[in-house]
Amino acid sequence: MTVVTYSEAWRSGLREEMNKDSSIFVMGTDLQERGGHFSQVKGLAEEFGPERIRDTPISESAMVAAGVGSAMLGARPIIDLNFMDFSYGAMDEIINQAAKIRYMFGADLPLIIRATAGIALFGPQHNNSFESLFSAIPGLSVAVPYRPYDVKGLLKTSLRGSDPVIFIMHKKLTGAKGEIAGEDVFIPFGKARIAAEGSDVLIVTYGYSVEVASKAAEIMKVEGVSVEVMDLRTVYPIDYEMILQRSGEIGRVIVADEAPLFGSITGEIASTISEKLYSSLKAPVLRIGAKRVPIGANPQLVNASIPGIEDYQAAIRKVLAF
Amino acid sequence: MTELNQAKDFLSQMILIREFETIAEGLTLRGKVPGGMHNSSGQEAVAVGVMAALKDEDAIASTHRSHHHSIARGMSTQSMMAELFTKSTGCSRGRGGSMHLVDLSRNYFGGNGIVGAGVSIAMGLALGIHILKKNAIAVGFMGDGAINTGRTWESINMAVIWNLPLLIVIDNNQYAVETFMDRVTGGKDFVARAKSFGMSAEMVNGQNVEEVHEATARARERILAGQGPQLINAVTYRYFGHNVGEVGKYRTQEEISDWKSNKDPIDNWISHLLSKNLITEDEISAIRESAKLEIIKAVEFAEASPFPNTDTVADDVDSGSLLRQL
Amino acid sequence: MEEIFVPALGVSAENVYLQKWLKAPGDSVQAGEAIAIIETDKAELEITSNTSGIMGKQLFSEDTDVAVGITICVLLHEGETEN
Repeated sequence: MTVVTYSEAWRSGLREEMNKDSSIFVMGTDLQERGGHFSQVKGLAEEFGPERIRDTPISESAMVAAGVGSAMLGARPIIDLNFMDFSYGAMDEIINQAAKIRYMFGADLPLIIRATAGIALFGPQHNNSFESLFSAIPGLSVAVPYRPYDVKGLLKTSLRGSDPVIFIMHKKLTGAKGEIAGEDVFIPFGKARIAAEGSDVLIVTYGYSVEVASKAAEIMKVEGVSVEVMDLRTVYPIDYEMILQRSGEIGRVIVADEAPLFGSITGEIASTISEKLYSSLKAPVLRIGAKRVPIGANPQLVNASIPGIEDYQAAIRKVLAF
Repeated sequence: MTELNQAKDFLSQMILIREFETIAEGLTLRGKVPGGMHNSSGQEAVAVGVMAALKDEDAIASTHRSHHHSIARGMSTQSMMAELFTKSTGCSRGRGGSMHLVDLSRNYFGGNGIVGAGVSIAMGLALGIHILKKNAIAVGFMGDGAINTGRTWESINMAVIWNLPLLIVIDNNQYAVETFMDRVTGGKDFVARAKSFGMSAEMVNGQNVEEVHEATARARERILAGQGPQLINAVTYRYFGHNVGEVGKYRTQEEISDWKSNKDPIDNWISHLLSKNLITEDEISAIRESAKLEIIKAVEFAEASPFPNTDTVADDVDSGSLLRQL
Repeated sequence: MEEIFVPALGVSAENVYLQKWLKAPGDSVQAGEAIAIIETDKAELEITSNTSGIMGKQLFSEDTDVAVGITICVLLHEGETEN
């Protein structure tokens, strides 16, 4: 298998599908020359031309509306917002239009909104979390891949579907390398994977947190604790089948992400596990999340806001103590 | 010059719209229309004139006040009335209601409850037409209320820079809910604003169906000739409040009477046809009768239809297409 | 004859409160004149007659809840009687 970066994985899947389906096109700012702010479409304008890799003005609302209208007519648009933080300027188009078109009108809406998110640098307005926001909207599906393999596989599934997708890629994973599959591999939504096998504690997580959880698991192995890390890959739909099966088998569960704990999607998952498996768990379901703060500019403040490896270790010890 | 059959068609359609709206207004006051409706009486000529200049392949998106657009586009009054009643036989399966009538088979991509969404989705339809290389235009309706909404101008700008085949029609009844347009529009001149964005634009008398029709036909030709997106500001008037049951004191009785008595699009068109001996009083009566009967049938259909089965409440949120292992 | 009914005024309630009659049976009424006051969850509103005539039978008394859409009285036009 080929080894590429997370960003190149997006490009690989996109190129394959654009070659097969001439109705696929991409809109966003700075795509043609620069290739997007995360190199996600670098080189594609030379290959596919300015009609299919379209530079837009900074008009998020119009960009998404352009996607909604053209998708209703039968095209397959991808709106690349670069940063998911810019989706706030298109909230009506995403929530009141895209998400509801099928329910109101019975029409297909094969629209993908891709952007990069995740906590890193650039300060408060460029470091928002979107999983609970978008997964809570009936009609939307939300992809949160960790590996390049899943970026490509989920993108290919999205481009063969009929429903709107919010495709969230993490800033810190942009250059991360991993194997990708060939033309015929598709990853369905709602199917998690086991990133690291274990038997004492289960950590259910997604996105960059899979990296942090996996590192914590490695460290805990030395202490004789076997930690399983589950990578959700999509936060709507969620693979409750796998979550409940492994939670029931292992009995001690932590649901983790880097969004503020209050209102995080980890609440939805933890309460569902508790409700379904109450009498068979060995401990209450614990959660890991960020403090309820905007993300500051100073790097030490950033680290103090979001959970680090020590927070995962502490949670693992705590859940074992029951 | 409007050809004779088409001239009579204009009249039949406008009378049908007026009858639908009059009956629907009464039914709404009686509680038959959950959520209410927005009456388009007075604005018939804008809808009929525009739609008459469009082809089947043209794609349309509209506003919350869209019954007249829907009827003029040829939608079934039975399916529309059933949707107002939120019955399962309605065009939007009882899920849309008055503001979200739709007919994909007529390339009518729905009414919309969000101000400015009609034109921005129409801009998307125009982009789709361009990408898919269709020989058609997209038409987006907006009201005077959307002239000050951000998304309208983002969409106009995008249409201009990409030379999209988009016609924007301002179905301008001069009041955004209760607010008169001049009070809230910097510069006051809608056409000048559009022109400043690089869009060709003109104002027409929205109460003259022929003027609207001819302006639309010209605009369509220009678009297909590659001359860029176009805007028509059709000045009209609504006889009823913003929504049914509105207790409104923002317009004077004199103003409303003046428009009804002197500028009514149906009365004016009848005068025109009679003065040119293009129609007889008998024919006019027959048209009115026929409209009455059609709307009676529409109401009967709506009354007799079932409400949606609550077991279907979660159907069609998502097609499940992304769950498949390909 | 005009049936005067409680209008459905948009969003919520299925019932409104008939506060007070402003006309009694036999009173003459002008078009546009208020004939009763109702209270919705939002405000007090006057119910007006669309036509002129004589107030006929009133189907509900004051200080009652009435359903939206229901006829509350009839207005008789010239030459009409109750039947």
